[in-house]
Amino acid sequence: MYRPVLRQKWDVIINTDRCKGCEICVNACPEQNLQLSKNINGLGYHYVEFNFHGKRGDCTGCNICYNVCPDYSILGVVSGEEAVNGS
Amino acid sequence: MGAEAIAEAAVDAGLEAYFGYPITPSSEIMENLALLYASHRNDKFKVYFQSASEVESINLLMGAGAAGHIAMTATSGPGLSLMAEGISYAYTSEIPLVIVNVNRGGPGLGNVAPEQSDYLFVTKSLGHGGSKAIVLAPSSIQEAMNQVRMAFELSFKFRIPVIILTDAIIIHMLESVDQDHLLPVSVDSGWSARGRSGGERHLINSIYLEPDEFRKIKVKLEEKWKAIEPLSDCFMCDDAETLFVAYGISARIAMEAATELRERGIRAGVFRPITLNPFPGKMLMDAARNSSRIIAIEMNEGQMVHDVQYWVRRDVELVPFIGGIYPDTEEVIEKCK
Amino acid sequence: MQVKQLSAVIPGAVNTYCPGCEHGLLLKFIAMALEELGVTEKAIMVGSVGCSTLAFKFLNVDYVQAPHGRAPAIMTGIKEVEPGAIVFAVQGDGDALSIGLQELIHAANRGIPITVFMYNNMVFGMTGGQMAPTTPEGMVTTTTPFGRNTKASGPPINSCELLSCLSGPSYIRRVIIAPKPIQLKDRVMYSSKEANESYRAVVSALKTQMMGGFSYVEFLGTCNVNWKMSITDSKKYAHEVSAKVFPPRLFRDRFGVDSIES
Repeated sequence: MYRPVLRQKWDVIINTDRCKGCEICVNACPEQNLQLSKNINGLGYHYVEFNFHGKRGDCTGCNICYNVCPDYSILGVVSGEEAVNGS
Repeated sequence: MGAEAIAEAAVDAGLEAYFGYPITPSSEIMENLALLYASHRNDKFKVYFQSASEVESINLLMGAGAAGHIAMTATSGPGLSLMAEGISYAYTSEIPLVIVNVNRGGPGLGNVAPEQSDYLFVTKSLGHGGSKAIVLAPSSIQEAMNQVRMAFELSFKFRIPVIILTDAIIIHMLESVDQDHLLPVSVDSGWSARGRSGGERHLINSIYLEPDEFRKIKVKLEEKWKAIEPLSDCFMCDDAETLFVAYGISARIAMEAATELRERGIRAGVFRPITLNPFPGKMLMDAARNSSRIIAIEMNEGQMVHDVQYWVRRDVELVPFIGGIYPDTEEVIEKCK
Repeated sequence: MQVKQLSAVIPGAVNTYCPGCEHGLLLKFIAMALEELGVTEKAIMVGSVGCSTLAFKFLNVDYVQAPHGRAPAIMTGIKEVEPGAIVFAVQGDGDALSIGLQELIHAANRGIPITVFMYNNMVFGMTGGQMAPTTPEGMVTTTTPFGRNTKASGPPINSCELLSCLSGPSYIRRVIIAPKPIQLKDRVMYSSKEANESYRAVVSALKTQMMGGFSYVEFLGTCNVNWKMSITDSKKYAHEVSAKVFPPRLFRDRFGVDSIES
């Protein structure tokens, strides 16, 4: 039996109600994991969405998005695990 | 001396912080407090320093008051004008503070002689937006000492600025007083800003952008104001034909004149407002009901006389003393002939 | 998945700043720093007038509002009677250097342990973009529609240099809080170095207060709405113009807090 290989997977927790679509995080992310959604939130802005598999590469959990967000919409970057090949 | 007495009374009553800027004729209060601070007369008196301007003074008071501590300053006309902004903020933010204003000649730089020309300023136009403060007017040094303690109590009970309106005479005259120590006040500071300390945060604020919200606040402030009871004193006024209305040092002259007039067969009396704001209008109406002549005596061109006129609803005569001249009993008696 | 939120931020609150303004970032850094240093329960914020007035809608600390420019005096009053509290204020460049210059200089001179965070966006933001004491020569604002004329208004004021003449302050620093746009092959990327440096400056300033000194940090930020620029252009402007007129550096660090590893 193969044991599943676990690797670290990051998740960026976003409070979409606070996001003002300023795109500072979108531009600051080195792996381009963030982009504005087509939807708008209660404030009327296109809020930001996170994708673990970014345009340039996978999220490395660098925390830059959390550091640069001026609205505290990015609440944190948390780590989890995913199996790369199941048994 | 008046200045010494006020300083000692403040420290005995539990003053915690004093910030001041020198201005004649109030500087002696600050200088006496410097000595009392250095001599550790009361452990509660922990903070004393000279500020850089009256603008800074009032803001230092606001800071200390917002943190729930008893703070006081003393100033005169030109300085009080600079404090008007802070008093307006303190009124809506409900910050307690006490200011001793020593009325000097004004407007402008005026002179350093006594006048009562700040009446309109402190009672009617104490800052933008209709801000106001409780105004107490002592007429003797003993009363000034008692009023300092009363001011601390009232400012915290109603969370409002309190002004003690004296003049250059009271501050500099010598009088004997009762040396009984004033009891220290105890005040409630549960609402103050001292750090959340595990509870809800406290907001000391005067901006309310929503008109509805602001209306509620202003209604609440008005209701609070109406609950303040005015104080007054009646000297032989029950059966007075000629009623003098005067406050502060003018009231002392008026009482002298009234006593002299009684000896000459004229039934004179004196109604003395103790709180100038709220003005004891109903008490004045009561005291004046049997009087045929009402004479206001003040050391200005005629400021309180308008309030008197409003409440008694008849013509009121005026004996003004303008420019910083000392009020004269003889002149008052002349008026009554 | 849930993540622990900063206790100094009101849950669910939205800050009132324009998209792209770093003022919100400054408030967030203050909340983070209070948490890192463990002083959220002892913190008292004094609000000033301008864009910083409505900070109380976002930060969940005891708050006393000050008249325009008077925050250093109110902070001094609070700190004198409550020496155990951590007292700080966020002031704009107009609040601190125009109407409030006297209060700031005297509070700094006394060296009272309080902290002033000055957000410098070179205009009066809240009131619509008028000239401020820090507006550089030639910059167009609503009250200088043909550019600031230094012959008439004098040159912009460098607050950190001014305060460095006094021996009272213990920590004086100027940082850029606006991220620097870097042109890559296919896109513009924002640097995160400025954010990290600004956060460390906030922590150092509060640490200086805890060690008994007066701290002052000037943050060079942007105001893309009143500068009438796009967000990225305003970041470029901050790095090309603001940083030249107001060179960012450490001016004074009496207790060496910048070099203490947290």
